[in-house]
Amino acid sequence: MALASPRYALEDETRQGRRDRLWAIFAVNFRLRGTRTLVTVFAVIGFIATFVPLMVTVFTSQLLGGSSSAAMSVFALPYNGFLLFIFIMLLSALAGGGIIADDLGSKSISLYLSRPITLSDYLAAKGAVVAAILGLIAVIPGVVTVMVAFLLGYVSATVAAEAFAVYLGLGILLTVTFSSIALFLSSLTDRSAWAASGIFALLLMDDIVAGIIGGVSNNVYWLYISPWEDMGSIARYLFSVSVTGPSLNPAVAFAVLAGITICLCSATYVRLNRMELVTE
Amino acid sequence: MSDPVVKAVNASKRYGEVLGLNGFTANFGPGITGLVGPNGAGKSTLFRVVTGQLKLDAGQITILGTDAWNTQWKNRLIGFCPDHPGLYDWMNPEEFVRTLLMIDGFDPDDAERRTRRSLETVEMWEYRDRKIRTFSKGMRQRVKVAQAIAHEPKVLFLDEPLNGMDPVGRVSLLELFSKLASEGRHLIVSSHVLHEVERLTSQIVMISNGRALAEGDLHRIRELLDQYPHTIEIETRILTDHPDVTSIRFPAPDRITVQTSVPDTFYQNLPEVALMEGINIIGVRSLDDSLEAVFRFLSR
Repeated sequence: MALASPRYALEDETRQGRRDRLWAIFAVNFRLRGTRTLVTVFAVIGFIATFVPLMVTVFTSQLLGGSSSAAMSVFALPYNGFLLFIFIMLLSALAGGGIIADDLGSKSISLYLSRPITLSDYLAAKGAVVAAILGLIAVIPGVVTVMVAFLLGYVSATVAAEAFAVYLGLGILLTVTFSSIALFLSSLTDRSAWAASGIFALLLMDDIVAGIIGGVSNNVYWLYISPWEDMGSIARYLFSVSVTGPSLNPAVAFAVLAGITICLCSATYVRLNRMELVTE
Repeated sequence: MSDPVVKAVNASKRYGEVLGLNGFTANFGPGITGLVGPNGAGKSTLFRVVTGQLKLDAGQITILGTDAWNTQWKNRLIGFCPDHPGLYDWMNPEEFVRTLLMIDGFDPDDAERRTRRSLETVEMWEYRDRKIRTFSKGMRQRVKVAQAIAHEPKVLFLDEPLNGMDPVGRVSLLELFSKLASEGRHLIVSSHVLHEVERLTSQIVMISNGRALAEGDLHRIRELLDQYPHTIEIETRILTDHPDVTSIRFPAPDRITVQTSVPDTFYQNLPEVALMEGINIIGVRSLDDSLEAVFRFLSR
């Protein structure tokens, strides 16, 4: 049935654009999540645990290589081990667990959505908060190492520029992927502790299960289901690390990560769009 | 007759097996309209639909001539005071209101200015540095009202705004709502207490089980109410000092439940009596049995 009601014109008043409104959501949530003691502690430890071994490796490599600059492959170190992954899991859980769950629990999500923002805006800003926190250990230690190594003359300008770009690209891929996982799991409950436990358990179990099944079946393709193995595969390719034996195809690994991200972001959107935000 | 501000035609919203709205048809505004119904009647569902947070399964609701769903720009014209806490407890009220204004799109300076004005309006400016978590329910209600009015919306949706307020706070908020209406704003105020709404407006929509049961002049519907005793619960610590308090068979040591057949007079006289007798009243709420009875009557 068609309705006929008075039409009101939007007053010509000065309001800031979408970017500023998203920034407002980002800023308040980053302040809330990023300043929590555990997040700060693990971010600092994660930074040190990534930066120091990487710097030592670059220094040693340059030392052993004589006067020649360190090779690009030495920068793959954070993605070759599990130390960075452990901190990524911890920060994903701690910073991402309550990112939506807290708003569902307190029902403050309805205050956001009664403002002139869309659900996509809300999710983008929330995702950016988790991504920024993960970036503190996924991007910053790498690019800082590259810059320090370059300033100390350990690497050539070409290697430094390439390594810088790779760290940036990998960091974006990693933070976006793991943020989408955190967003989705956080949207499934209104209890942040459950969401945080779920994020940590899922990431850990996924990697363990992939490793066990891959090992038992002697089929490396099982490792595609682990985002960390996918990241490692792409990193080794971009940092020109020579791999012996069967390994993951970096293009497929990238497609898997992109697929995970797109699917989980879509699922989160659909989930929040359809769910009854508040029940009476 | 003026055109309605919010118009609902056969609006239905289902939560699984439960109907939040069930063919709801009603007009709201201009001016102040009361939305009265018992808990679970569909008031909050309706508010979430008009603020674009829920999509109707059937029917249509327009606000200011625009479909309520998927038109986020219209939210610049509306203010929403939800019934649930929904506040960031770790913030102080100044940060909270300013943040929401910035999400509304106001620049920091403008947001600062509006924050101060709205908090002063609800008499919370002096508490601007205190964390919200330390506030009483009544103070939280005021902060929620402040964020709803800070951007000077054309239409205000107030979901149980007086819930948990002390008598003095109720009076000041009711005065504020009347003032906002006199400035040309449209208010839709929900309550499960008819007498609260009566002090604001004579235009009401009664809702029960997701349906509009009655719409129009309050006084005609109110005549039905007088056939039933009205039960009011008063929260006060006065009896905790009384040596015989443990033997009183009241709901709780700090609560009295009274019945009155003249609720208007009772509500009117209560602040004066409390003041004269030195009774510290923390909160007043209608237990609303009579309203349920009227709804049952109307539903038949």
